[in-house]
Amino acid sequence: MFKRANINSAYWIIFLFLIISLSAVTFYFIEHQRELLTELEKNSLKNELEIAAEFIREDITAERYQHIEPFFQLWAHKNHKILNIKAIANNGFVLTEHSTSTKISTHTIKLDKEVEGPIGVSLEVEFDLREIEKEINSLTMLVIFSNIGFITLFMILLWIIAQHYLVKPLRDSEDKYIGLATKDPLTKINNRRAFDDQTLHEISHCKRHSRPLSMLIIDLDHFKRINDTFGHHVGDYILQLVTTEINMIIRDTDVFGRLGGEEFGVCLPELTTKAALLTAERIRQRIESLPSLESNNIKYPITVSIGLCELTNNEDATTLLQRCDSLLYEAKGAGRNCIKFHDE
Amino acid sequence: MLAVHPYLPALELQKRFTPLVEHLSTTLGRDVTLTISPSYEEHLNRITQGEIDIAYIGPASFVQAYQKQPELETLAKLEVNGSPFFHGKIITKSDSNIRQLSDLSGKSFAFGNKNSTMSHLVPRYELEQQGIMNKLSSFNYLDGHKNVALGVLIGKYDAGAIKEGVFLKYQNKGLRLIQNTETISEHLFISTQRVPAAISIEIKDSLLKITQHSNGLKIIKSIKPTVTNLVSVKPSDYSNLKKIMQKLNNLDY
Repeated sequence: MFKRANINSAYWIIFLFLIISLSAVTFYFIEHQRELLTELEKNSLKNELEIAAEFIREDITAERYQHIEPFFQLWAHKNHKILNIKAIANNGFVLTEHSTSTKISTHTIKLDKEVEGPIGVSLEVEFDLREIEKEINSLTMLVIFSNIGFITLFMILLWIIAQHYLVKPLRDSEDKYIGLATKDPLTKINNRRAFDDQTLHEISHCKRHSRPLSMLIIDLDHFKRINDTFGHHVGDYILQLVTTEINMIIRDTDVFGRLGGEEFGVCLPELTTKAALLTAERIRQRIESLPSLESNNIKYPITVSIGLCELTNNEDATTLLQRCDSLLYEAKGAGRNCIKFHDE
Repeated sequence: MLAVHPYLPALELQKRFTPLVEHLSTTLGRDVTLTISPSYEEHLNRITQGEIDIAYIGPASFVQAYQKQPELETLAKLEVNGSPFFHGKIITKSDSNIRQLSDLSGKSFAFGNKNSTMSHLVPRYELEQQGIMNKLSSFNYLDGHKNVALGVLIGKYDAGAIKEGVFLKYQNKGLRLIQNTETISEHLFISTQRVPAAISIEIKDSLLKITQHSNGLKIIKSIKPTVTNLVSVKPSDYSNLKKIMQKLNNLDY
């Protein structure tokens, strides 16, 4: 059985795995591109160096020594990648030394070339490779952004799939279990335990804020007789009907539950006895107005008796319910279809 | 009309000589124009044929022109860094063991242009005089003073002859002087037979008194930054060069 926490963990593990693996692939790809570009650039610079060497060889052969320096200057002027040129005759004489003012230690490449001829000359040229770095940087940015895009899309898709196929069924089944534990299966309202829990919560809330709270205990009159006469299925139907009617009168914020058998509880936060009495009376009248059952010309009216009391300062849920219960019995004793409360 | 031989690009010469031409126009009260001769030969021809009025000319060209046309009038010569004479340098590499001209036997030697005064004529004469010329293992003419300096520096030649300016430029790159050559009078201005004697005197006067003019120094320095004055000159100032050239002609180099 999957757990939601497990699904979340799996999700984040996939996310991390994607990031790590794509980063590794990106790193490898970029390094490979850098090597490739450097090699290409190196070859093109080597070609250029060959041509330069040929010019120098010609000048030396024709004894046009004075052409060599201007040639280097022109070369460096035309090729902005040239940082330093040093040409040394084989007797040690430095024919030319051209160097740019800005020294760049990284991103440079130094190429050597021996010029054969009547006078041997060795050429050392340092080239600037920052342009490759610029290219690599923009490529890196492109790859990173597309990776982010890919990961985002993939994770969104995965999220949707996981929600639809894993999390939603799980949540539904969780909801089902929670429902089984807290709802009364017949009337679909709170069972006794859930009613007690919620009532406890409401009582402590109202006590903390010094607010009034009233409690109704509602009991169907002569329910056993109905069950015996019409069968349990009619009894169950009456319970459902009464639940529906009460639900239509009380507020959403009120706590409504089946306490057992034909007994219901309604916890009315923020209501004093006076206000709660209005609600109780409306419930009583509403139930009374339901059509009576009839068998063998005997009428079986559907009515409720209600015990009502307001929470006092040093009272807890148990005593409140006990007080309500005794008032309910008073109402039963007083002929049913009525409300009993403490008039202060 | 003032003519200049094309020792530099025409535009550069135009720039260098225009202040002088303008100065002459003002002082003479005549319209003086500048013309750049297309070649050294044509320059000589124009002078000897009298096709131009005034000419700026090098010492060797003057000797040649004067031999053909003795009616040429010498006007003024340059005084460079305070001296109206200049000399050439016979040079070698700093680390060479050549100390004097006699050490040159068995060595290779580089001259500049065959017609150049200081990279060929004068030093050549001195090598001939000392009997070293035929002891050299080889010699060659490289086009230009700079080429000679670099040819020696690069190790192709053991020694060479160059003018002072180029020597100063390359000295700290590893050149060493073996010996200065004989001094020769500097470049000069001449007028041709076409110019009447009276006007010739006027021009000479104007040139020689140029530094008394408020802008005079600026005008002559525009020709060459090291020029300090224009001084009087006579044909015999070049007799030593004439002797050298005659001697070399006889040797049929």
